[in-house]
Amino acid sequence: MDLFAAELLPPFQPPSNPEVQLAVFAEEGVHEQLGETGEYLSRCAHYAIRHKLYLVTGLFCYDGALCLCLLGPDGMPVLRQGALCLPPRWAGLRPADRLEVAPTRLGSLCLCPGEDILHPQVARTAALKGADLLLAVQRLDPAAETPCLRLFSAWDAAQTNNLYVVHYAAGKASVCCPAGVTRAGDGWLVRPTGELPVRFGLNMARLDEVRGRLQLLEGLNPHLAQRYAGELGRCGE
Amino acid sequence: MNGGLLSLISFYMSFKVTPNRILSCLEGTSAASRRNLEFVTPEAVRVAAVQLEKLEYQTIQEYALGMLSHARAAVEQGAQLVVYPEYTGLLPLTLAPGWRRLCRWLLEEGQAPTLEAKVDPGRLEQAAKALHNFLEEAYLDTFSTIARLQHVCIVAGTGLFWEEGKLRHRAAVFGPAGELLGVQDRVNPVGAERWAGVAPSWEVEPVNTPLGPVGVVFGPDAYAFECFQILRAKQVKLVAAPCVRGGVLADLLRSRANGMGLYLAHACYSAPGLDGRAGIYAPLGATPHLDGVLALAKDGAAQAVCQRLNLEKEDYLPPESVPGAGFVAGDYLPSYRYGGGALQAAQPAGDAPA
Repeated sequence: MDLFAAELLPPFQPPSNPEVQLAVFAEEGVHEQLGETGEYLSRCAHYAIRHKLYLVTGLFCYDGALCLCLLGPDGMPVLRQGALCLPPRWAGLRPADRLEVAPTRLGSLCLCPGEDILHPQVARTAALKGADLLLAVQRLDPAAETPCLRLFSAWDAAQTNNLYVVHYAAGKASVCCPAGVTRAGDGWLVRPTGELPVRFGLNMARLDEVRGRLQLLEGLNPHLAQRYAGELGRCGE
Repeated sequence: MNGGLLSLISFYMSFKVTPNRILSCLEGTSAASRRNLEFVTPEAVRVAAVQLEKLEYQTIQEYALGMLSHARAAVEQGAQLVVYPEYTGLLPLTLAPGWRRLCRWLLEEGQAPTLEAKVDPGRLEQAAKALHNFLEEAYLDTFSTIARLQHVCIVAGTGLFWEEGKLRHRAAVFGPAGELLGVQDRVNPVGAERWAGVAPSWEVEPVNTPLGPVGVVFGPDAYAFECFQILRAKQVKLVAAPCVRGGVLADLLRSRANGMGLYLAHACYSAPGLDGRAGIYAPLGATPHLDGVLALAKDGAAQAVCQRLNLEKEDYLPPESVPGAGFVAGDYLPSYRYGGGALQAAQPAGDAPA
């Protein structure tokens, strides 16, 4: 789909417009208890069916992993992604091994739970697997937020990989894209804001046009990754 | 424009730009009185990033003395390493008669002259063969002599080199005796360079200087965080970033400095339309306003922005989380095989990986 409306909104609040095709729940907490998680996901599925849209749930723990889930307009799960990078406070959970990209009629979507958005390897993997849109929900204490947090994570991921990034953390939402997609040329479709809901349009045709001009991934040097696999593998050192 | 005319321009430039002319005009000026590299300690390294305003030159003397003036200003401020912007080695092309016409001729029909424009590879090859000798001489001789006269290390921006039938985009690093310490080639060609067939390099290696290992990542290679990660893994703490513009690239460099725990010297052009501001970037914790900026050019005038750095100070706070080993080895690294470059048959520069 070339152009569609999306919205970041408080959990279970109806979309502001029936044309919204993708909703992301702006939710800080993590559903940790199994029973509570089941009930929560069931409500999410009903929400997706009622409003006939794709829905990105809030964070929840399932099967020993910190997860985000993408539900289709039929309420069925399209994608469940476990966090690939876990901080020590989640010592009881284990990191996922694979990043999945889901092809949908909106485009190729990828989920980025927790701190995954802080690690450039995650967005790079998503982009190399063909993702158009990265949906990141991060649990973050507002006190831990720095002025450059979103610039150095979501915005960086969008510029580095030529994709859209929707990011929610510490009560603020932002939407980033390759600089060439925005009129101002700054890469901010929605600057960080705490005023919800946030409605925005994602133009995949424009994204492809920009990708055609600045072929970042096509120009990427895979031999370099092969040669320096040791250096690139030392993540977080 | 045709092959004959290119040969004539080449012949004319071989008289107009000679090593002797470059040497005589530079050596005619007074040498630096300061010896900033006599005492070097990683706790107090002084680095300068040059912001150039002028894009066009009338004579080789004007070019060489213009470049010298920035090194001299930086050395007066105590700089031990001076970083020039990208394409400094291509600026002498503006000395050639009809250079604007030549540039238009190089573009495919209907292309506007931008950094993303499509270049006609056949015409580019003709021009490169005809003009590369004078461009290389002007670039290498000018910056080698400046480094020697100012007793300073110089990351001399970049130049285009025609080698073994391939175009290379290369940054040269000179030592205080004017010696070539090392080079770094373009790793990920994008935009016009991709259309023009600039050969990608397989090497990202630090250059050993009297200040310690220095990395060089120039222009759109900054989009590849991998270059910085490789350098960081090789114990590099200081990276020179010769660029053309500011804007998005400047913010990306700030992000790289913070994300990889590096100090970055960003040199660029402030000419209208490019609007860059040279600066020195560092991890957030090392900057007074927690914005990743240690020093920034105050205005659009040509200048050298100089800053003292403590490379030993650990201000780098990586995220608490770390990607799982299973993801890195089993998914992240293998995902590069989907990169478009893997499908190209072009022979990259450097040794083939084992």
